[in-house]
Amino acid sequence: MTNPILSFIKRFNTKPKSSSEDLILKFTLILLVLDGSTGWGLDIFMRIICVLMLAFNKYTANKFLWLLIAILLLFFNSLQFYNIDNHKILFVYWVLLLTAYMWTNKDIEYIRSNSKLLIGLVMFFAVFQKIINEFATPGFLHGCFLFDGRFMLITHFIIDTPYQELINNRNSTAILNLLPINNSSVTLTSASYMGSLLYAFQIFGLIFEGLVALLFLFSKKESIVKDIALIIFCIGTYFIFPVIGFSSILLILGIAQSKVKFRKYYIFTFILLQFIIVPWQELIFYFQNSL
Amino acid sequence: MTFFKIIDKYLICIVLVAVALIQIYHSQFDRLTPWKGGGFGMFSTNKRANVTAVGYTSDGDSLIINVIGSKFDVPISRNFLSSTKNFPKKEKLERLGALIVNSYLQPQKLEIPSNIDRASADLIKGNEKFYSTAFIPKYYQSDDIAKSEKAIKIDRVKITLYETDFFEDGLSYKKRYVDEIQIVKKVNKLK
Repeated sequence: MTNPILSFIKRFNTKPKSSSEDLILKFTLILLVLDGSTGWGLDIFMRIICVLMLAFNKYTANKFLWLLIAILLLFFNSLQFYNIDNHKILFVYWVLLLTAYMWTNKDIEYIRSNSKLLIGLVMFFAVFQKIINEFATPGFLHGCFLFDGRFMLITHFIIDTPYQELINNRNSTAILNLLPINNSSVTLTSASYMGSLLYAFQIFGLIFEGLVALLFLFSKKESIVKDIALIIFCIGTYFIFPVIGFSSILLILGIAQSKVKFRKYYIFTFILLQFIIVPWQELIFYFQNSL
Repeated sequence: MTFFKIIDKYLICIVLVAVALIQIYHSQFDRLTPWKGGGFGMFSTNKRANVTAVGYTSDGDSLIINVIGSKFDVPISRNFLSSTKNFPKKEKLERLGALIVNSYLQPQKLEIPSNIDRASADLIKGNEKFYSTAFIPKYYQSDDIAKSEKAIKIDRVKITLYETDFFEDGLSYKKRYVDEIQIVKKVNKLK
C-alpha cells in the first residue's frame, strides 16, 4: 500500500534550482512546523509532512507535497477565517506563492519580487488600517497596556502601580462587559505620564511602520536600507508585542527578497526573535517579588 | 507589461489586496473587527464587540447571563463565540441565543466594581437583585444535578450587541449600544 503512494509522490521530486531556493523552502518548512498550525487538522497532517520534508532532502522540493500543504492550509484556515490571526493568512499566501513557483517553473526572481511586494503590502495595510481606525489619536497603546493581560506587567514596571490595581482594572472591564447598561463605563487606574509615553511610542511606531511600507513598495530590490529598516522594526516591535509567527514570516519573506550577502542578518534576527517566547515579564516580576 | 503578464506575475499579491479591501469594507461598513479577516488591521484599535444577554423566565423574572465559551461544560464553543464576537452577524447572534435559551443556567455571584460610573451605579442600586447574580450556561447530565446546583431554564433571551472602547480622556472603558435581538424557546409539540 505504502509503495504505490511513495512511488507516486517520488514522481514529483525536484531538485532546488539554487541554494537560495533550498534555503527559502527549508525556512518555510521550519516556520510551518513551529507555528503553522491552527488546529488539530493541520497539527496532524501538515506538521508531519513538513517534518518529513525537512528530514529527507529529496522531498524538500517535492511539488506534490507543496501542493498538498497549500491545500491543507487553505482548507483548514478557511474554516476558521474570522478566528485566525492575519499572519496565518499570510502563511497561506506565501505557501501558495511557493507552490505556484514550483508548478509553473518560474525563476527565483518571481519569489524575490513577490516577497518584497508582500512585505510592502502587509505593512501598507497595517498602517492604512491604523489611520482609518483613529490610531493617531491618544489612547490605543495606553488602553492595551491597562487591560490586555499580555502587557499589564510592563505597565506595572513602568508606572510602579501596585499589581493588584492593574488586576482590578482588568476585572472591572470584565464585569462591565456583562452588564446590559448603555453608556456605562469604568475608570481605570494609571499614571498620566504613562499615557504621554505610550502615545509617543504609538506615533513613532506608526511612522516607522509607514517608512518600512514605503521602502518595500518603492525602493530598488538591491537596496539594503529597506532590509535594515525591517530588521529594526521586527526587533523593536516583537519583543514588546510577542507575536512570533508574524515576526517569523516577515523575516522569511525578508530572506527571500534580500541579496545573498544580507541574508545572514535576517537569519540571525530570525533566531534571536525565537527568544520572544521566553516569559520575560513573568520572570522579572517573579524575581522582583521573591527577593 | 501586459495585463495578463501582471496577473501571472503578481496573482498572490493581487489576492492579498482583494481580500484586504473586502475586509476593510466589512470592518468599516459592517461589524467585522479590524483585527481579523486578512486586512492586517491588528493592533489598530481598542474597539471590540461586546455581547451581553438577559434571560426571561416563565415567571417573568429577568436575569443577567454571562456569555462564555468553553471546551467542557458550557454549551457554547470557544471558537464559535470568538468568531461571533469578531464578526457579530445576525445569524450568529441568533444561533448564540438559541444555544443559551436551550441550556441550563447556573447562578454565580456578581460583584459590581467600585470604579463604575455614577449613573450606572445608581441604576444598579435601584435594582440590586437583578445585578447581584450572573448566570452561566451549562451542560448537566441530568435534571436532578441541575436542580441541586440551583440551575434554571429560561423561555426567551435578549442578546444585545455593544461596542466597547478605551478613552484616554478620563481613562474610561466605555460601552455603547449597537443592536439587539430576541430569541424565544421553541416549544416541542410532541411532548
